[in-house]
Amino acid sequence: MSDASVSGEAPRADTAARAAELLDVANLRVSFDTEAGEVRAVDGVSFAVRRGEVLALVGESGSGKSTIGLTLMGLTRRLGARMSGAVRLEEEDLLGASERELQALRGRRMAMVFQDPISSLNPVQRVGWQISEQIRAHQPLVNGAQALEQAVELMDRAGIADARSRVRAYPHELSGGMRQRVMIAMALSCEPGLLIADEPTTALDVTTQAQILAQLRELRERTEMGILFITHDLGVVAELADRILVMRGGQLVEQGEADAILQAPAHPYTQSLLAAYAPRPVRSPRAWVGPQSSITPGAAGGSHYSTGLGIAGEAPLEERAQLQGRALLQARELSVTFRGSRRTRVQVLDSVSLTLGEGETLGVVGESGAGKTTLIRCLIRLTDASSGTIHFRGQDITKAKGRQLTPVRRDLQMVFQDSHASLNPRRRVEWILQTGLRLREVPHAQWRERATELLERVGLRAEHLERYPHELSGGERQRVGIARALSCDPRALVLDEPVSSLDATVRAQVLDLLVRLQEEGAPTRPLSYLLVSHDLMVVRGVSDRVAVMRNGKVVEVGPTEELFRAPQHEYTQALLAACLKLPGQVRSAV
Amino acid sequence: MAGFLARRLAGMAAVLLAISLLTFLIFQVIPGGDPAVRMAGRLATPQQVQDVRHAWGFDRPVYDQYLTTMEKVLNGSVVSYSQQINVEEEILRSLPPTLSLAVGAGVIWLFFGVLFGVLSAITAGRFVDRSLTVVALVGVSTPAFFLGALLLYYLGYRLELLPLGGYVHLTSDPWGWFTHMLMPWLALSVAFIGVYARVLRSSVLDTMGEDYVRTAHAKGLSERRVLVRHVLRNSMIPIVTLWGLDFAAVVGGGAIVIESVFDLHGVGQYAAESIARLDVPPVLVVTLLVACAVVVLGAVVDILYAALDPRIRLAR
Repeated sequence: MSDASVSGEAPRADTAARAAELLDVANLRVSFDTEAGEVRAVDGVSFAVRRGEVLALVGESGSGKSTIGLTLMGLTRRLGARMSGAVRLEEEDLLGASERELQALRGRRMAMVFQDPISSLNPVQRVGWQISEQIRAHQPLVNGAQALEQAVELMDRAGIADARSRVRAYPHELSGGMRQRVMIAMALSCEPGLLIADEPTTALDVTTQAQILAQLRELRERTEMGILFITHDLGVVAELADRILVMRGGQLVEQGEADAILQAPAHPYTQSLLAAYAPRPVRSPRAWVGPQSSITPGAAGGSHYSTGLGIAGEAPLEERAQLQGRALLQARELSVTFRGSRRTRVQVLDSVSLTLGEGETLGVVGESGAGKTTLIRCLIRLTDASSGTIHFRGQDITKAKGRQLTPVRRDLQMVFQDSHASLNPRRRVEWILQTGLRLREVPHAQWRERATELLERVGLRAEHLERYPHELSGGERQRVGIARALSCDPRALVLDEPVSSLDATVRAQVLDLLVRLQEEGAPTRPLSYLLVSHDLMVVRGVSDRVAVMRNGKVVEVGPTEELFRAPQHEYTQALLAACLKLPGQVRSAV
Repeated sequence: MAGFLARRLAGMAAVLLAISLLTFLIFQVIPGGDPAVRMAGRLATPQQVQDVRHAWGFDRPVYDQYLTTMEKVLNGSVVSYSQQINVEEEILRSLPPTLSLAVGAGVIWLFFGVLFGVLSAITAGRFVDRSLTVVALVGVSTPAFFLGALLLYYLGYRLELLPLGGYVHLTSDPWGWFTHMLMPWLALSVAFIGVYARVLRSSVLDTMGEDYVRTAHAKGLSERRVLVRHVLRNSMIPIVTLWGLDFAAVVGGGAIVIESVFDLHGVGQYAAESIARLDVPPVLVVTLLVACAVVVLGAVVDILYAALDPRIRLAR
């Protein structure tokens, strides 16, 4: 189906156009033999990358986009892939090349930057050594000292401050952004003509992401390099791409100039991708309005926390009015310090005060290392606070132990980021859901019925009871994770990055589900959410109030609308600036 | 580093105390454990037994006996019940053969274990891998005494290539030492080689699936370089642990069977003979020696860990 719609870039273009083409892929097919039979990962894809352009390859997980990147590098061979079609990098035939010929091309003529900079660098070798190793592999005349000197220069150019001392660092001693810069420095070390970047910013914080993208933009301007940018994130695409290819199920469904596609997508799939990305309307505060307006802890001295059992400004419904002002979970002046190396102390939480009201959704945003996870662990009493207090429904649980915590734990249920890792892989969904029912002492005879009910509440069906977690899709697994949490009939869900490992369309569905569940429960049994995310857009769509964290401190709290309209703290402003650029563009398109 | 060593030494003292108490108490409670009866001889009168008991202090409270024995152990004057000769001198005499056995075999099994493990991993699923798997299995399941006997019979007796057991000092006759140790080394190593090859094979295969190995390939490095510089170092970590523990066990007399088959008069053989005679002091001292070896090699392993993997820090 794809051939007709992509004929504009077909391999048999005229010779003048071909001269500008750096990479020419014609009718590429890649398949793997699995126990379930042959799986076609890439099914007849043709495109070209020109010198000095950024071509974005967009699609959701499983669309075959990463397989294309690996195939171009000749790295799918060792995975036992079968390939057909033609791939040319300038005059080289990449599919027909021997392993030895490919070795000479990899790293020198084409280089790749991978998604996860943490696992993609060798943990036991110094980063400078890892860069210089590549230089020496392709330039036998360069000696070790010279290669290391080049590595310093490359790291410096990649924006790593104090590169001369950092060359001696091991990967774990650098931040995620720094490691990705090292990966980029390494990829650029032999000045390749083609750079393949596979989700290079997905694992990074928004501000770091913006810096890496700026660097790639600058690189495109400065050199003749062609960049194949593989991503699922349309925001990144709008920032960087000249042209866009959209993939689905191993085939190209649409391609063209970036602006054209973002403004007026032709294919329904592209339209749905864009729609899923469009920001959800900002939620206005409902049942609960916590501490009034934005407060900046530290600014007002000791009493910067008002107990905030204030009256809601606007409460349309009677039932909600009754629930108003009741705090479910309250943290006051919570601090956590860990002992670091050589008797230093690391303050992970610094005097954090937050209140989660009954039926309220409180979003907590911040970059990695801001202390979000420690805050959650502290609130559900997995980590002990060094100072401060935690109250749950008016009862001090700061020092509660063992059995005292059982009712608290049942009422505060976690939903984790990685539903794949947090569901027992050897148990069926039914068993997973029943653990909560057992805790509530629901009679055994009702288990199956109740488990089915739970599945239906989260939009799944009875047939899912029999499945194992690996037989579910990412979205279905996260729904099961939510159903499992609900099986304890909790008062609050603590959602730790609940949608960050999901594709855009699935993410929107799961967020809708969360909103619906809260509305269903509101009249009789209010359900509160403590939603932790690094993604402002996620938090914005579902939260009543938002708290912004940085370096263990809450720098700003306020009703969502107010915070997004007029952020007070400069860090909040920077965060918003870093991620609002694109959705604006996309929104105008949809 | 200093703090790490201090903590380990304190730990070692605690281990030695616990082990010595346990060993001593075991001999108090096992039936037929009364040393006075055996020392007095078969035809001794009750009075004679009583005299021996009194002379050796076996009639005193257990804690008192323990303290006296430990004091003698620590100042090197403890003697065995059966032959009444100094235990520590005996052990010093039996250490050279045991150390020769441990060091030689340790090097052999580490070298061949790694070699076969890597070979097996890079040919995974193919003929070489499958043959090595079978060989490893046979090696692991062949009892050492049987293998030792086979070696002695064929290489020693039939072909007369190697001497039929015994120990020659390295300093007096290096070649003789080597020829005498060769068969014990082989007999001891075979099972270890099998285990190590299997462990390393799976470790290498795991590492080859890591993202940073994919990165190494993407850099355009040769297969050999990827294997040696990126895969092997990361796969060696489980092997280091295993080796430390196994080596310590052999040093502490764990190769009792091999020492007996080849009549090396090592620590293990001495311990085996002493246990047969229910002779507490030698058993006690050998046990403490094993404990020391395990603790010291445990520390060495941790230091090696930190050298292999910079993410691991010693002070914890």
